[in-house]
Amino acid sequence: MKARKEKQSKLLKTVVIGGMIAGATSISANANNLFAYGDLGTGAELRSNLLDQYGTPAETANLPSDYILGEAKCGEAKCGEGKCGEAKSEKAKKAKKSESKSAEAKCGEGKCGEGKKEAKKSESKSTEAKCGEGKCGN
Amino acid sequence: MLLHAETKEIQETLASYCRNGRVPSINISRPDALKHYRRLIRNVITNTMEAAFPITYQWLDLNEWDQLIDEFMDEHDSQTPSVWKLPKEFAQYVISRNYQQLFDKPALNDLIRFEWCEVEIHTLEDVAEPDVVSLEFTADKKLQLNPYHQTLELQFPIHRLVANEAQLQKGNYFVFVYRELDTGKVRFLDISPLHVFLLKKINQHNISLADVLPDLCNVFKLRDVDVVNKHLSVFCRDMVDKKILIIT
Repeated sequence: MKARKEKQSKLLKTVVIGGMIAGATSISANANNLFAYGDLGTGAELRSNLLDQYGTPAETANLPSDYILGEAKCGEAKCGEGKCGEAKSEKAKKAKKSESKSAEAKCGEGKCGEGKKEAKKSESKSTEAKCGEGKCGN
Repeated sequence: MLLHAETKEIQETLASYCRNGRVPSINISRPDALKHYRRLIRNVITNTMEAAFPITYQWLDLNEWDQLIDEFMDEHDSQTPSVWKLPKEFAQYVISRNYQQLFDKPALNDLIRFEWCEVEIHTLEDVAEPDVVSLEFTADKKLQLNPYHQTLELQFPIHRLVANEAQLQKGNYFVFVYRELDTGKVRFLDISPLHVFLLKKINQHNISLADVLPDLCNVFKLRDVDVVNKHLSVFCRDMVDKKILIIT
């Protein structure tokens, strides 16, 4: 019974995948496109390229650096203190958003706050460290 | 050691407050300090999500992002005790609650799946890897697929464009995500439905390009088998060089 269920599930999966591909074929059945493929690079390179396209909010360009850095001073502190300063203005939030967009830190890497601190060191540095290397809550 | 029932209840009350912000009706020695517990917990969550989904974070406006975080904290009962695994549950939550419709951002689900996929592939458990017998590809050699991979089917080309622009180009897009056997780095390939078909067949049966060709030409209604063979040989040779396909 179990084997039969597994077989049915496998069959269903195959049909779904087949349908998905067949559907895609009818939509994009341009022969030239069918053979085209591209290497998008590593996750870090791709993320960095994409984030560059999103750009930086113009209004953050003129903010004094102390104003922005003030938020990240607590990177060394214990988990959760990466965002000290309760009463952030919208502007400061946006500044933070642009600062962290270089996305060096993917999931879980570094202790809380470290990712942001690193991000400030070099906005264009691409991500190498990865998930599961973090400390918080692990 | 089991917690005393009252202690457990207080802990759970505090945890609830940290998640939903509704002030609990318990005796608190320093009421003014209570808000900091919630602030610190929320910071851990939001930092984790910002790190795991940097593109989504960049794309959404701050109100939308805060809404996601707040509602996730309030409504989602996390199943994992590990913070680094929480983004998976966050992704599932965002997709299941259909925020893409709520925010009128149809590419949201694609983007969030795309971003999580990298972490997922990176953290796949190690398995026995096939031995690389040869790097000289020919169409008749049996092939095997790198075991650490996933094919993402996307509706929008968020892997090529800013999401707002990608949303204007609805279609069928396929991204092959894999972990390099040598370095452990996760890489991305933009591929076509034809490649998806080929790679899936190889993955299912460990067969050669020559074995796949008749079926492939039939499904895609391609008449000139030699031309297809030529194109796909170039593709497979490249995949062998990248150790995505392994000659066995």
